[in-house]
Amino acid sequence: MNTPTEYVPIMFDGFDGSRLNAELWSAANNKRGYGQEIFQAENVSVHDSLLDIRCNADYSSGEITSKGLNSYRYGWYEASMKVPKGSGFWPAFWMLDSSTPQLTYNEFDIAEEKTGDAIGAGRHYCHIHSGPYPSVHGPAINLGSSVGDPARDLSLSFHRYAMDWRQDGCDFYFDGILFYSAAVAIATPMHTLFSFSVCKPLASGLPPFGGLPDPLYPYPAHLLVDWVWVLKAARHEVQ
Amino acid sequence: MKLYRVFYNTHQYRDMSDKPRRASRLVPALSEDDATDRLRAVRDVEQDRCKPLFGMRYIGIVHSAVPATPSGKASE
Repeated sequence: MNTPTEYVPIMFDGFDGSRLNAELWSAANNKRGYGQEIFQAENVSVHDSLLDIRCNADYSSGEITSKGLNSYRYGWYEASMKVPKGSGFWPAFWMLDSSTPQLTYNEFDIAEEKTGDAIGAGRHYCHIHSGPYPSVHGPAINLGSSVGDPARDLSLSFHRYAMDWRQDGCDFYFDGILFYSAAVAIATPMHTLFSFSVCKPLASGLPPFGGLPDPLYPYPAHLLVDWVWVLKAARHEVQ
Repeated sequence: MKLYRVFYNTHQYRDMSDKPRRASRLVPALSEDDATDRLRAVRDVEQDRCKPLFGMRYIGIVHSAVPATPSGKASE
């Protein structure tokens, strides 16, 4: 919402109906996730005009991706989401490098929420990772920031998470307000993902940022997405 | 949710004493009426933000909403 006149819609999904739009998304199935979770397609559902990604007590969870269906370059990416609050939860709206052959690793984390305490304190995180691929040392560029309001519990209502990606860099917005800019020129096509992961202990044995999941949490937990869109304006054209 | 383009007037001045300019925005909503209601609902919030954000204009009369269709030109 609140987009100026010059925007042209490229993609919109309001999750109407009773199943994923197969032209836009596929759900991961029997896929090991990024933390302790296993992604199963049965944990992804569309109902009440919402995308619902469920995480169960056995850490079976879900992910949808546009990989192989749609990739994008530059534009305004935004989703309205309600994230779950619980220790160790790691819900995300993000983008990954779709280049073929893949010689680079690029990742935009438009929303990467990693801790129940922070979600309860209204804190929201974004990140950029970029570098050559493959790399034994991981991405060369790792940037990010967060914005928070202790009076706002992110899990209680839907919020808008957005990124403006241009040739000269990226701006990140929360509920329509700019909170972080990065002058990183990333030009590879990217696909979009929504995932609900569960943090795992670090190699050192220490708990991760965001903590470990609480076995007493009243599972299942839900990541709800109201809508997502990709928009383009004149500033997103290649100069 | 469906996608609508909502047409409305914008003004340079908060008291809307200047000549309005026609504008439109994309709004996810349940219906045409819901789309116009959603834009009206954020009007007061946005008015407070207008001044510090360069290029933004005040929202005046909200007219109508029409369904908007994504171009589908997504793949690169």
